[in-house]
Amino acid sequence: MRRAILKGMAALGMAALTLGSYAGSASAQSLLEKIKNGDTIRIGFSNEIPWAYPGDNNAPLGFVNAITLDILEKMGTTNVEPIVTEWGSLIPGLQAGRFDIITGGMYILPERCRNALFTEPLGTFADALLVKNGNPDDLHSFEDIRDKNLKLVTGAGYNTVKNARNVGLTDEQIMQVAGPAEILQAVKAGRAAGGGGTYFTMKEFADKDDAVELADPFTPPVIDGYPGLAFLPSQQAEVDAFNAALKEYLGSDEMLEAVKEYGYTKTNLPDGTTTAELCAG
Amino acid sequence: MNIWDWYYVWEALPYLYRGAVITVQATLIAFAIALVLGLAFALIRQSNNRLVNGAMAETVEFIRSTPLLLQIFFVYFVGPQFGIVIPAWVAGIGVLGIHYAAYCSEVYRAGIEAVDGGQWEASIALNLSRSRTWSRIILPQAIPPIVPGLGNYFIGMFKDTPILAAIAILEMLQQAKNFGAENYRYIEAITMAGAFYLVFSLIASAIVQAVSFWLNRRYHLQ
Repeated sequence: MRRAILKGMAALGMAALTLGSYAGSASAQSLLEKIKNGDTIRIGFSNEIPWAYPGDNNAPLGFVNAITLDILEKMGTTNVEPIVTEWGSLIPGLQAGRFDIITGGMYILPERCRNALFTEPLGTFADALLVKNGNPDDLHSFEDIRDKNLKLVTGAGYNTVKNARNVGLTDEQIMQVAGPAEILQAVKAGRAAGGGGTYFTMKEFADKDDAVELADPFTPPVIDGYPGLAFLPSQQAEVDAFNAALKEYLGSDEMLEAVKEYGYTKTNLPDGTTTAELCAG
Repeated sequence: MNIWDWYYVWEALPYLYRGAVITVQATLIAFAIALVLGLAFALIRQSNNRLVNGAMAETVEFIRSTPLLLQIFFVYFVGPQFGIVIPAWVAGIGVLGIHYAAYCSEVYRAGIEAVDGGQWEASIALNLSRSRTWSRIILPQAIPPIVPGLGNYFIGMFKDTPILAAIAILEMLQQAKNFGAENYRYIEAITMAGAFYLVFSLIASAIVQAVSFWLNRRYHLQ
């Protein structure tokens, strides 16, 4: 009897070993091969309307996701597994292998380039400032907030934090919260004079909530942000393949049709700035 | 890319130090509130007036049964829309303290109800006043055995302080995350934050044990 059990355990052990080696060979496949084989690709994004956000059952919505899905389809797969996480967890999640591509719409920045590999820009965008209706503090730039010694609320990990610091806001003046919902609420509750974030996210709030509006006119701290898809630093081949596909795709009627519902227009198309230039700072 | 880079360890230290100070301060102050308020809740619940003890029981139940994050969010972000403006620090520590007071009050209640009924009868027989009965007879027997239970909540609360980040109080974990977000290096900062939580929790549990030992001896319970 005891021998039988031992035998059974040995058999189980062998089975586990073989299974393990299968799993090993599967993960040894490169991301590019996986895409070409039609395997499931995991895309990571956070809840940033209309860039990339989850719909019903975590369906990947937003224009960065729409672009990604179209490109992936051209390259060979329609299977994606959306993984939604907070903004600040996107790069750590990529590094930890929780997903294969960041489709959150991350701006290409020098510091980010050191830890992730970006495709060529998907478009050009600027920050916007969310204020209470009527703009009671008369704010038209981050400098106004600095000079009037008020508070700016933005998301922890947003590049708005850096933009605001560059303008000269102190850390006391920059309130860092978890995400868009807190930014909106902080502005509505008067916890901060203005909410900083990307134009689309802020415009969405201004459109949907009667208590807030966009500061207008507004001079953004940096003229433009250029979002790209982010890969692990070791995946140059994948990035090259994406860039080749993007070149054809960006600006095509097919693309403009896919991103129209999210408010992306021809004016947002890339202006020729390259990722290499952006990474150099 | 190295998995562990000492350069970032030194870089992250000032951030973590600032966060650690906030974390420890918040825990100590909020737990002091929880201890005092929790005892008050428990005593009010012992009231003979049905209405009073019923209302207290419902309040405790309500506080215990809604998430801490939600309570903090409400007080800080929704309050101002009704004209109630409380600074972040006061709101955060206050809500943390009140939330844990609700838990602690149940621990106190367990201690109080475990005191033998004969002690009450003896107090009446000796014509001790009600306040004297409580302060000299009941509580000295009720509290020492429940110190380990209260200590649990002390350690638990310490690890709940990252919730304060929701209202932009930069405690240690948030500082570690911000450091990560600025440098795109998370492993060092998060690991160090974790190590600090561990060290502080171990110290806290040693203190709780010492207090428990001392109280039990002081009141000759063991």
